[in-house]
Amino acid sequence: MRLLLLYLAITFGLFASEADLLRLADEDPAVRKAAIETLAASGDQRLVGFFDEYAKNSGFTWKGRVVLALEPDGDLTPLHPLTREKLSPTALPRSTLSELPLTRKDKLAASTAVSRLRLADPDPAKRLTAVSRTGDAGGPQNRILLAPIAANDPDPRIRRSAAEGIALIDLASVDAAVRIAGAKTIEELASSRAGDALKVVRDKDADPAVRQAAVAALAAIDSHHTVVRTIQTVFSGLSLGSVLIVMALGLAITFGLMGVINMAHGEMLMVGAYAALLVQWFFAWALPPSLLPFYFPLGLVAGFISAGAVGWLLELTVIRHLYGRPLETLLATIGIGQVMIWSVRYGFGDNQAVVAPAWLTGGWEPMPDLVLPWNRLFIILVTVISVAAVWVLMNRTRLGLLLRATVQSRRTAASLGVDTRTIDGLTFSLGSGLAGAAGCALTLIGGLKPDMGQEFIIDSFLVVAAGGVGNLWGVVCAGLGLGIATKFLEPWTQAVFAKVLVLAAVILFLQVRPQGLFPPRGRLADV
Amino acid sequence: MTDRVYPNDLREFALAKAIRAGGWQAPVLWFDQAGLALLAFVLLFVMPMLHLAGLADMSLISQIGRYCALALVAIGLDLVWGYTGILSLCQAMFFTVGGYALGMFMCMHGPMDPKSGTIPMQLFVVTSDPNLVLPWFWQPFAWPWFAVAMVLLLPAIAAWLIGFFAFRSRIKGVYFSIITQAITIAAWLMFCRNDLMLCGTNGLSGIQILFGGDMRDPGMKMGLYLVSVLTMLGATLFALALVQTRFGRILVAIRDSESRVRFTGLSPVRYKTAIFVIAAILAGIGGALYAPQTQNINPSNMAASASILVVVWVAVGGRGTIIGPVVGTLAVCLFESFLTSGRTITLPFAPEWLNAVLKQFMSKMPQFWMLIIGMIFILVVLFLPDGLIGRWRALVAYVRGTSP
Repeated sequence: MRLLLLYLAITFGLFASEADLLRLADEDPAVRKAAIETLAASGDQRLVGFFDEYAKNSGFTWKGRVVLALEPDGDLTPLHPLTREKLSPTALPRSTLSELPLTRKDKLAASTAVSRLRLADPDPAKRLTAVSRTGDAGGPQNRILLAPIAANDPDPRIRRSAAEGIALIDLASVDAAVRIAGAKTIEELASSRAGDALKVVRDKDADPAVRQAAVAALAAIDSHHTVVRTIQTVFSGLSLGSVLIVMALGLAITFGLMGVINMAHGEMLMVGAYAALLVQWFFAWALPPSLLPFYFPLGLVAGFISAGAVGWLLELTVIRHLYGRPLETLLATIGIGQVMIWSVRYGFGDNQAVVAPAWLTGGWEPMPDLVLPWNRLFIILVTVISVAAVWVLMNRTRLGLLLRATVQSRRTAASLGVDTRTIDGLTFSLGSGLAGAAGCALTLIGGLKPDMGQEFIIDSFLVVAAGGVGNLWGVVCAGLGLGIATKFLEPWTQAVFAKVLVLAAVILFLQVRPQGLFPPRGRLADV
Repeated sequence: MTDRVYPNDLREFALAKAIRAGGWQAPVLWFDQAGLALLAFVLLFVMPMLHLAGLADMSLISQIGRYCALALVAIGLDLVWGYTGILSLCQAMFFTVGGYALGMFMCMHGPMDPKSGTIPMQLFVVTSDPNLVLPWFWQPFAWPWFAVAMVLLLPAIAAWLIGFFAFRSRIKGVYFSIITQAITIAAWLMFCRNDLMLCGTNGLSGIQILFGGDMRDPGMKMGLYLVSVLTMLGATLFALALVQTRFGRILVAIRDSESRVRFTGLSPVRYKTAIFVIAAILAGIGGALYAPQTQNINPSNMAASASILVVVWVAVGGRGTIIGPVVGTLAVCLFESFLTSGRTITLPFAPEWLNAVLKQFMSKMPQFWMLIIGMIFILVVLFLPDGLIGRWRALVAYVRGTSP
């Protein structure tokens, strides 16, 4: 593997040659300058470190080759200029090494070489940083360095950043026409980076035409920002809404269809999240580290199953005895929720965190300045799948048919041979399992707390109330509406007041449509 | 409204049937009255005597005084939940609002900031703004009559708004519970914010001066204890009388069948709103008595769990009995204070390991007693639906050989 890399590197000229290095010891400044330029063109990243030390007078020749020695005084240990291996086991007297000649011009050439080398870094992320720094630093020589990158770099983000840098440098030019051209480029790119420089130009520039161009460019940046902000708000609303939807789907099933109010539903979310944590711990303990990133799909399944199992147990032991007494059910499940919260706090303590898998870090950048994090996109995907699965289950399977039959008329269903008790248990555990899956998905964007479900339970009930009881599409619409409304209100009120306003809106909405968005018709309407 | 459509006697007839349909029974039985008299005797006579004899220290007296203030909240909830069938989860909010109203009055007469001398220390410390001007809504709380009026009016107005809008659109049952809980949480979040100028999460702490007296003074403590006990007993008698009036009977009819009441031509909205407001006022008075006794009132008094606690008190005591919530509040609060005091219990004849487990368990209780509350909740709902008073009545009936 190493040999192969070496071979590749030599073929593509990524290695600096010893001969070029040795030319740094030449008496003629022109030869040294040419040598530094050749070295910079090689693109060997190890030269960055070398040139840094070289500019601090740490370069020497020893036994006919160039070496580094980092001791400021006293004896010197010669090091390989690129790899920094020790070339001599002991330190040698200073007189055995001869210093490389170094003038102010050589230092300047070395620092330019370092910039060029950084701009040629094979890692796109590092290259991007270098390109944006070079643009910010300004100066005509940097413009020369950036021009080929703006035209040829394989990465579009780096091309954009280089073009921004060139425009920024143009903006500082003495020629008014060049400054206008720079402002025009910024306007086309809608580059937010250039905002501060443009403001200076707008306020201070001598030429009115340039000031006008700067105003236009600033307007373009502003409108770009508005677009980005709107999309980002809608997106975070979508991701908040999708967690609410999965939660509320479970509630819509238990509350809407069965008429059972489960205040411990939020704790099912918590169970799912802790199940994901346990799966991750198991992976870390029993399996090789390379498999760790793949814990998540299994965690999702574990979250669904464990929360479903807890729900089934709950139905069997408590809720079954309270059918038809909604207020008592509410109270008993509040109690159950408290017991679950405090038991988990007893067992796990506060604030555990699941390490999000590496393939979900970072984000998708569909346009400049707009990053949509993968983990939130993934949560939206989980929601879409859950909604689809519930719809299919309800409308296309035998279990769904039995379930709907039991809900519509328990006696008729029972007389036709449906085991309504089992169906009740299954329905309840399905609803709880969905909350568990939501909890598992939630671990991607936040820490785990035993009372994490409390934050969502009220909002999910509002979703069910606003969406209409027992209606899938009502839940989806209300969930998205509530999520997006909250996120839109947050910036220009504060988070707390957004919550209050949304609550007031839901109450007012219920004044107009007491049965929710999609009211049930016929016999169900009496439930 | 439809009230006027029916001739009066016809409506009374229908109403009587509606009430009778709901298995109505006389709320006050002789042993309830005897129990109440016993409670009054103990709280008003025995406790002060024990204190004078040196057997009960001031902290215990003050503790019981606080529990009496809390019992007012529970009586209010019993009227709303036990008699009218509306499970409200915002009693703790009205309690806290009442507490803040009196707390602000006490702040305005307590220590002021050293610089301008016009801003209460509690507010000054939280905002840490040297150029702060006293917010306009603080100023009138310096007047005692205004503060006392606000103790009653603020919860009443809030309750009227919530009740009117919710009952008008026929939000009932669990929907109403959830909406009220959402409102409480929203209010809690608001009170926690510093820019509301209500001292943020700190709340009003270290409030001392009440009508010129210092709350750290034992005389003031004893006085406020007696006031709390008397108010609690007064509220109990008031509630017992209220549920026997025509108004109270209509409440029970609404609980048992709201649509039937509506068909008799009465508007349940008015009755429900009225009792909701009465309960809120009781809770506000409770808060105003509680705040000076702890010298502290803060947003955590209305956290979601606080409202749930009120429900526990009523459920444990027995709802629909008025006496039950009082007993329930005292019992649960004393139990809580015992569990969280850090004391351990040793069973005399139990094996060694059991006592070790018990000791371990008790040592965790100061942090984990909500676990116990949750368990009480489940057990009461499943096995004790009519509470301690219900069991007591059943026992008495069994002894007397009658059906309860």
